[in-house]
Amino acid sequence: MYVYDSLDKTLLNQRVAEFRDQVKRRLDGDLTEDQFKPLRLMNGLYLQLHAYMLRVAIPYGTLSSDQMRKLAYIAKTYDRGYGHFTTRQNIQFNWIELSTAPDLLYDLSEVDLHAIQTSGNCIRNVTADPYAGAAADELDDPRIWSEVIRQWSTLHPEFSFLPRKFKIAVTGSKADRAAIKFHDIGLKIVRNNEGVLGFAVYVGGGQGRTPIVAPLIKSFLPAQDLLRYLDAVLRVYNRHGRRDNIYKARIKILVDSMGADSFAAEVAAEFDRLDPELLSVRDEDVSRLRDMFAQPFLRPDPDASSSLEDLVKKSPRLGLWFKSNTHPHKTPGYSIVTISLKPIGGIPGDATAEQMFAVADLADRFSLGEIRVTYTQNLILPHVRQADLFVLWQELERLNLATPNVGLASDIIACPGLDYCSLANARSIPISQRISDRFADLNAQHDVGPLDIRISGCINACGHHHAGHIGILGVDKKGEERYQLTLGGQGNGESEVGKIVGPGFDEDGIVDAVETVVSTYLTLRTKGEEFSQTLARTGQGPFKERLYDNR
Amino acid sequence: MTIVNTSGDAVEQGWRTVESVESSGPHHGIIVSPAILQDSFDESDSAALSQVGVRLTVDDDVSEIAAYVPHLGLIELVFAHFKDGRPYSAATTIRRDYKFTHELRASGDVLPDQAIFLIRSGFSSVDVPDQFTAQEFKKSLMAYSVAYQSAYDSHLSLIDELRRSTPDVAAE
Amino acid sequence: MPFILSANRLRDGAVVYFAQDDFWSERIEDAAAVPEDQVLELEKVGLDAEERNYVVGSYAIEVAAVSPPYSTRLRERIRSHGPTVGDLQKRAAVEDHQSRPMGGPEG
Ligand code: HEM
Ligand code: SF4
Repeated sequence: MYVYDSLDKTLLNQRVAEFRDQVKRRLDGDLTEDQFKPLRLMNGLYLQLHAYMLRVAIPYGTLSSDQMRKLAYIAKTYDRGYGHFTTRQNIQFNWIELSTAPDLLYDLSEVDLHAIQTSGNCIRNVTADPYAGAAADELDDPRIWSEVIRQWSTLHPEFSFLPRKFKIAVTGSKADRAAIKFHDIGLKIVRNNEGVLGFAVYVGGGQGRTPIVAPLIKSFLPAQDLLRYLDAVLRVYNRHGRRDNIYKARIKILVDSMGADSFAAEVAAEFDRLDPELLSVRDEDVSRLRDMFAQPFLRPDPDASSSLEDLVKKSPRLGLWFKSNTHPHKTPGYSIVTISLKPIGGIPGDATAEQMFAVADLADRFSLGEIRVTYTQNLILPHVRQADLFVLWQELERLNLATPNVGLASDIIACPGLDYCSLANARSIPISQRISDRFADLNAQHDVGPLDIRISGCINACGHHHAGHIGILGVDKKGEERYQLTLGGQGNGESEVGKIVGPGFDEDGIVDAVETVVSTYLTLRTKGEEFSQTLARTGQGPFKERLYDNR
Repeated sequence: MTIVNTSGDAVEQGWRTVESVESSGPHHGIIVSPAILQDSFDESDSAALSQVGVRLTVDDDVSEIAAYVPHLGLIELVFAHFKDGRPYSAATTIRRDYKFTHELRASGDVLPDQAIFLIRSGFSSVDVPDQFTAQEFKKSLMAYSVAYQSAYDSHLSLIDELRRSTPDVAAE
Repeated sequence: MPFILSANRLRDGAVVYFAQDDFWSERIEDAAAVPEDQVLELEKVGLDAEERNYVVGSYAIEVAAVSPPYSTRLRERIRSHGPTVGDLQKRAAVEDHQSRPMGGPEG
């Protein structure tokens, strides 16, 4: 993992000191709320329905066990004993006080964590494939490049007051587990025909009011030119992005209105003007980072899988868990284990302080002290010996963290919605809880197969509803909560924006509607066909009929 | 009004903004709009231009006065709102593409807490808004001793430079 | 219909309701209700408290009943009674998915 050196630490300490001073000036009345708000937002501190909310960055989704322990400590000390892992590889604390927020940030800084640029119109926390460094299909470790971007973008003098927020995601694998095409910039690590490492660059994706799948702007960018190219993209955006209308201010609108080709041409012209020396990513820096992210040697254990099969036979629940919650590791005999933060009827992405402490201990025992955070609001232990899986599973069961539902109907993505968020139109969490309860039978969920349900409490789409197989959007209709249903979105691997099926539903109706959609699929599917395949084959027609016919 | 330099110290103003220019010179230390600049001055008269400054709003495009830029004594970029960050990119461009080396001044709606971003983007002075003081700008400039990016103000210690020149005193 | 005044307290962000004089309470039950024709004065109390840096984002809320104050807006009921998602700690321990408290009298 990346280790902060004294310079990283100096910068972080100075940031905490600066914020402490800003908070003091606000509390003393030297700063008005209007002046203070952008400053606190740049430190991840929002004012939400019930209190201040602090959003802590988990850079490219990687946490050490010590960092997780600190998050648990924060939840216990400054919050009400829990935190919410989000789709942006952040954790949000919902019950924070302004007066003690500087102390909180100081505590975080002791383990190199912070809330810098987790809000505001700047370059946000870089997200990456949570399987980084462990996946078999990986060309290069995306964390190396994410760290390069983190350093470049932190307190960037020129790009801290952009037209709107700016999100960058990196994947190093063929399978896209970071939804890169729904980001302002999506970077996919590739090699060209000569074997040179570089990136395919997608620019102008996003969700919100105008969901757009990012077009390819450059099919091959040599790795050493990464920062020079990002600099050019950001400058073109800062110069030309709209500032007159907040809903048209994201780079996706600029790329869309200019056309991908002329946008690419303008970026290329800016790129050519830049001094290659100044922004070149040097080999020695990359190899320094490569060493930091290199895994200690894992001894291959090719025989592990057979003894595992015996165990699975003994416990069907373990069998289900092994099927849905583990993924092959690049080293034989190891698994990537997903810890489900989606207990049946639970709050998607929430974890208690006790659970966080326990996960940290499990990471130390079973996964080289490493933890990952996924954008689907689960946690991952990336390097688990298959010989340890049974013990680990038992421990996770005890903690209510082993629900065998990863990628299935109850693995729902949900934003905080009206229960916490001041921008919300409707609640998201209770809807997800009721849907989860409705599909409580885990054998049935496994029978239904891969199903991606996502819920947002308003059109900002923090719950990625556009990209869910089944997407639910909360709207406000004359003071009543209503829910719109979209079908056909794709967020894993492929990127696709779902389409609205028809008129919305009330709170009870939406839960029934989801069930109707699933049962319709079960009657339509051919052998081995997944939900999204059936939908692609039949179109929305038969689903619409079942949903609206007997109304 | 108070002008602060890259160290956050108040300095002599030296320039005045004028809305029109008498045809007979000499013109010493005047700041004009791009239109007046183009109407009243010859782009090749570098001696006269060194005594002239131009004031650009966020909507003005520096490329329209490109031929004047290298000779000007001062360029002032006016912030329409402290959240509108266009002047940061304009500053970078003026320094880098136009090789402008004289005074580059930020004015308008800027916050003391932005001082470091201004200076590192290439501004060399700030016209301090009435509700703030030079001390506040100075204090904010002192908040950081390190930065990740290389920037125009190479007097600041850059993490990048330091990493290369100092043995890593990594986290104990 | 009558109105009450609410805001978030600057220091800790807590939801507070204007009760009387300088007193803002965390309990909606303590909120002072005024008739519609006094809303402007009520809002002025909020602006003054913002000016003194005691609260932020003050606004008047229309209520359908006054004792206790009841807003027809779910958002306001969640602000006064907390999230409707159930007690996470309890949920983690007990697999009880039945009871789910709702914000406000009838959620
Ligand atoms: C509770 C406080 C939150 C607020 C005030 C908030 C605000 C917003 C806003 C205004 C947008 C729309 C941006 C735009 O289209 O320009 C947005 C988008 C987004 N937010 Fe949030 N959000 C919150 C929580 C979250 C959470 C909890 C997550 C993760 C679960 C999240 C992840 C995202 C994502 C993924 C997008 C859409 C992608 C994009 O187009 O940027 N946000 N948020
Ligand atoms: S989608 Fe809307 S309701 Fe949900 S967190 Fe984002 S802003 Fe809040």
